[in-house]
Amino acid sequence: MIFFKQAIALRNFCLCNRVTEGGHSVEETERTQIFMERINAGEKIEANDWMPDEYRNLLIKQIHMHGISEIMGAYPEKEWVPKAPSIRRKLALNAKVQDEIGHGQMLLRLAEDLSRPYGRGREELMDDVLDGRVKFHNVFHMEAPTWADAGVIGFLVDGGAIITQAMLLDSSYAPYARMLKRIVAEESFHMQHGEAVVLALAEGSQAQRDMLQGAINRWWEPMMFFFGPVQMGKGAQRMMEYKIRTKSNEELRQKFINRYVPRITSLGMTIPDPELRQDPDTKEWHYSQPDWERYNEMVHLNSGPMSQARIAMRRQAHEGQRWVREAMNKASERQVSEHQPAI
Amino acid sequence: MENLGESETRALIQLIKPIADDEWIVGHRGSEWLALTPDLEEDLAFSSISQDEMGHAQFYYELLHSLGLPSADELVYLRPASDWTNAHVLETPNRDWAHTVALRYLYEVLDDIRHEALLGSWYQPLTDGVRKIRMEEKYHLQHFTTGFQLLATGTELSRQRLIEGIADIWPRLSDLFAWGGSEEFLEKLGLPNLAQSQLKHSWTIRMEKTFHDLELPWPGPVPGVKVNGRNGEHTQDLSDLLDVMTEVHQIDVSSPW
Repeated sequence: MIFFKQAIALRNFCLCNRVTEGGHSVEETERTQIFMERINAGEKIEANDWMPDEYRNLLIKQIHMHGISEIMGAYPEKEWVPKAPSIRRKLALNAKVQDEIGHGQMLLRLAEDLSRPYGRGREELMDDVLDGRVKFHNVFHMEAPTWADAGVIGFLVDGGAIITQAMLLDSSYAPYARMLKRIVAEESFHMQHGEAVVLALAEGSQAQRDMLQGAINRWWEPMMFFFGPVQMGKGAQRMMEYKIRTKSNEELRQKFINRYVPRITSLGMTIPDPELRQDPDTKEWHYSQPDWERYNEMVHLNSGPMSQARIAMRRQAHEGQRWVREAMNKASERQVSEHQPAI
Repeated sequence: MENLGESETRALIQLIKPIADDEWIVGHRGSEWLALTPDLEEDLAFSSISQDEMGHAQFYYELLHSLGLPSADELVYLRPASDWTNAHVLETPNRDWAHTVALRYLYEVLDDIRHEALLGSWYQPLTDGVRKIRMEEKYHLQHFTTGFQLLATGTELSRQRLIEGIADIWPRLSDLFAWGGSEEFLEKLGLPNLAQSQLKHSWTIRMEKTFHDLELPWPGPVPGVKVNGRNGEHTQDLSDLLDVMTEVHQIDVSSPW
């Protein structure tokens, strides 16, 4: 393995010299080949390493969408912070939403780094949400009408996110994998927070239990969509080839169902899918197909029940307060120039 | 605790309750800014501050509980507006960012003066907590001092909006310095620096300096008390806030959530 790495390093070195001497296309192809050899050998790519444009663009798309989903995911829960029914729950939910925004901020910084060659920074990446140029997860287009939804989001959505993000821990892009390590650790606290809210409701009064069942009924189908179609799109397949991601949509969904069926039934709640059953031999779960068309449209056109309301909140924060960021920048610039020593 | 006489207990409650309520309401209003502040970094900082404020309130409510009042959760979720003793300006719904930064800066300076004075108390459970709280409050004050300065010196627009925010808040500030009823309890507690006149004086000196340094128009002396939140006098804004805050809890007050 060491020899292999050294050989590649040597070839990279020689290649660099050839590139600076001029000529691109042959070198580009050769570089891509070497890059793929590194990927296939399980090596990790760092931010300053050379990478094919396709790899960079897939990473930007993935990490931008991931970061924006974390930020848009703050909205359905944030609405419940002022209404949280105890001091403990209020502080915990506040901290959870803060974490999600923190994840969004960290991921956007990665996307900003990758987007530098395109001259795009935070402002542009955030503008993309408002202009519908970046998608966010289907679950955050949905309504969260009760306190139970605030708990179920932590329980199911964060639980689902742990499953998708755990496979990214081994991503070929090292900065993403490192960041996910921290994010996944926090997501598991979020899942536990959601589980604690859900447990209290499951052990509570009939009204609380009904509220919980209602929320599970609302979130199950969107969660089936959450992992994506069985037949993965071209982009997702390329991400597998580049080892940006390492598992198929269906593998992740099966893992989720397998994990959550016993959890939900042990709460005395039911899963709103009459088709749901496990093959005794293959252990494969059979489930009703979510309404692919409806959710796809929701994600692509921002046409879900809460899509526009949540984008409007982001617009209020980002566009509505551009004047604050401008003032901050102006004042900071002035402070810096005032502290410059006289020449 | 067992050595406290009845009048001392009453005095401590009279002292702690308004501070607890101020901190809770400030934290609650702060948490409404979640995911809505001007940038992600501010969101992270401000939500930490809001959690701190509500955490401080929780400490004070637990102290009040140890002095014979209901539990912290009951104090937050089961009191009518007329039993809340926060300064009424703090219940104002959030407006623009400049308004929030102005209000929080004016409040944090008072909070700093108040907490410093509290360290003079002979009641150790209080001073133990205050010492820890002051470590966090130092950063809150720093955060809003910076925010206030940057808006004042940023652009014409930010300065204008800050001045408008101050103009809206200033006439409603008075009960921030006040206590409910007579101030005799402060003597019993050996905390004369917490008298309304003292607080207002110390606060005004610091404000005059800030306004002078930033060349902001001085709004004049803080007007006298018209609505005294310390006596349970509030605006409709507090009732609206409590309706939202207790909405879920009210579905079933006897069941744990």
